[in-house]
Amino acid sequence: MDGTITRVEHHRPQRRVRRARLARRIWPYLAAVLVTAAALLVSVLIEKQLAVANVAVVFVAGVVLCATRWGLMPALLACTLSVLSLNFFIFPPIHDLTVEDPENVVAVLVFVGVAIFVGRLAAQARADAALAEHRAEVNNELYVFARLLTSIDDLDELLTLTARQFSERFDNDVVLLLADREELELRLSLPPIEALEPLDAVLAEQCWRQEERGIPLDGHASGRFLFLPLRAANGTVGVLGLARDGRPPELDDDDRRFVEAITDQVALAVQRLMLAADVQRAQVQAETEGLRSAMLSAISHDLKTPLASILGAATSLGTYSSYFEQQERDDLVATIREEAERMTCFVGNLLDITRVESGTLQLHSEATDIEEVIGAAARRARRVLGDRRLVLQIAPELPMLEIDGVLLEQTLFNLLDNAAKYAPPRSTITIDARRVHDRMMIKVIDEGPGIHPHEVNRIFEKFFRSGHGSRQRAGTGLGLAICRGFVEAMGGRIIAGNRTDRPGAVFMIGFPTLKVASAPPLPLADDD
Amino acid sequence: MTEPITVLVVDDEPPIRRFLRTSLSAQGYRVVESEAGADALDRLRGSPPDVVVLDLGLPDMDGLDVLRNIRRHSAVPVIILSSRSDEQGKVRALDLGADDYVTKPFGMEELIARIRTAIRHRYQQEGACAVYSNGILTVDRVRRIVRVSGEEVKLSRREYDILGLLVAHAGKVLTHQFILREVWKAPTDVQYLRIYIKQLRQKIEPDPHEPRYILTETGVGYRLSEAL
Repeated sequence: MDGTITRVEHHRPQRRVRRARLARRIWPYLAAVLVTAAALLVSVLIEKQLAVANVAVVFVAGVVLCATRWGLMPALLACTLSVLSLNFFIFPPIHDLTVEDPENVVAVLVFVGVAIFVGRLAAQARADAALAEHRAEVNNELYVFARLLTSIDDLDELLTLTARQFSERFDNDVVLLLADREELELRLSLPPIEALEPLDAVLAEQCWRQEERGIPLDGHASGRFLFLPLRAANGTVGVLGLARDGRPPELDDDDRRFVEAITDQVALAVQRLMLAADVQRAQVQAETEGLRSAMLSAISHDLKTPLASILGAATSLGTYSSYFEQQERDDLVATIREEAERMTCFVGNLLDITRVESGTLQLHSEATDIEEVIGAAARRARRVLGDRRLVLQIAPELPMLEIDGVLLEQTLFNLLDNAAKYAPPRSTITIDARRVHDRMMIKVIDEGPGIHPHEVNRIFEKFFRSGHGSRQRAGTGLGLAICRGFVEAMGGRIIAGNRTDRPGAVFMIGFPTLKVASAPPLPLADDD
Repeated sequence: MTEPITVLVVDDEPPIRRFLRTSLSAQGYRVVESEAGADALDRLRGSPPDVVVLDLGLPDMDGLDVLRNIRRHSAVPVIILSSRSDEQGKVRALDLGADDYVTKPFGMEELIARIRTAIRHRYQQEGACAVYSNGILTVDRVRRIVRVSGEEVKLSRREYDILGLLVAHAGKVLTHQFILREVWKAPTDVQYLRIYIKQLRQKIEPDPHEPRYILTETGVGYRLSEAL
């Protein structure tokens, strides 16, 4: 029952298609008849005034028209009908198919000859024009596609575009497989499939390795897909698979030309993108290696130096304790303590930068009083600041920010620590906090040499140490990178610059007022 | 001389235990050591120490679970050894009943100060610290009078409640939630507390920007600096 219904529904559109095809085939002949009839009408009208030969020209015109518009066969029909019409209606005896005048016999023969010759020429011209038009269309399509390909710099996008091109033009299922090292990998399928069937996978693999253009079309051991290699200058970069109705599609010569042109373009583009990816990978690797060596030198310097001091001081105390005066013992103990604190700071920085970079930084944002955090950072930084004066300029009535106070405190501490490294003793370091328009601004301002203009943009990079004044400062080159990581994690920005009123560096942290904690109404009523 | 104060040190790192043992012994404490949570709980049941120094990162069980277990049957003061940048862990430990914390690595002065404060508060009856003074700031909890350099300072009721609470636990860190619970006695936004602390500092601190009495433990809470 179901089968019948299916078959009926299946046939109906086919019948309509067949009928349409029939009409398309019959129409030129019908047209040829109509054109000849029209020629006859014109001939009858002008016959009285003009010679018979001129009348024949009208019919020739009709035949040529048929030939140019509908091809050779309708033209021959028109020719036959024209001869009959001439004979029957024009050449005496009228209304008779015999030809009396030998001159007219010659005319008929010449007419037939001319009509056939012109008709064939015209039909050929028409076919050529049609072919040329088709090719132009295909070329244009290829051109547009090729232009698109060159503008794409993302491999996935390229594959999607390619698949769409094929599926639209041929109404096909498309799979694209790319070679990744020594493996052929299914990169895209339209409509999406999880994986190729085992047979198809083998065929794809064969196609890729042998660089053969697909499997035999007669398809013994046929899989679902017709596979075509994507060939580039130095090898096959992948394989394109096409299927229609679950079978490899049959492609005519035009289709093949089109497919080959496109696969070549795609292969080139894929290769270009893969090369670009390789170059980028190499760059990243070089950068990573540069970073790694910077990190190694930082670690070996910043861990080994304090360790050497600690070990030296401790062994001295252990071995020569009795030779030392109390003052000297105190010095050694102070060394151990200070160096251990330095190491603690360095290890803390390493942990912080790791948290920033590994994405494991967890924000605990809550309504935070900026003034309070500045105060806490200032208290912590007292010792590293030594005899430098710290001035806090905090605008009254600052709103609370919805941020992580611990991260902000560490950021401010790092900035103060950094200032302490570059600003001379007994100079003034200022923290200025205020609301500027729709931003909260916190500035750390010192009286050091400032930041070299070339270094302003690099100063927040990991392991970057200012070479300003050709003095390598103590420190890890991590503090400012951590600052940036923390501030940006909280949705703020940090920039570095120089003072305009005198030498000195300015670090400015900005938070959008979006970060302002929505203030609860003050319950003043229940207070006193 | 009475019985020495016994400190139970729970840490799996031998070097840490060694330097704690040496330093605490030199300070006159009796030191009992344990390298694991289960063992520490056994020792606690056997002969209760006067104070516990507990590392949160133990090999056999979560330090917070050890703390929870201790608190189930003991009010012994517990000082937590916590790692850096683990404010949440500190807050949770304090909320579970830990008395205070020091962050590894730490100096011995700091740990001993914390131990002393914790023991003092444990064996001191509420109200025994009737008058707090650090030389400049004086808080008389009986008469509810606050003076700065001898001058009486007018505090609102809530400001006084907060200051009173800090004085009662002088030297100890108090979490935001603890203060909010004790003073407001109802769920309250931490913003209120920050606003009151700010007002309090304006009234009693010599430099409210850089407070010296009410100290901020960012991400954890507040601590009133030790009385002198």
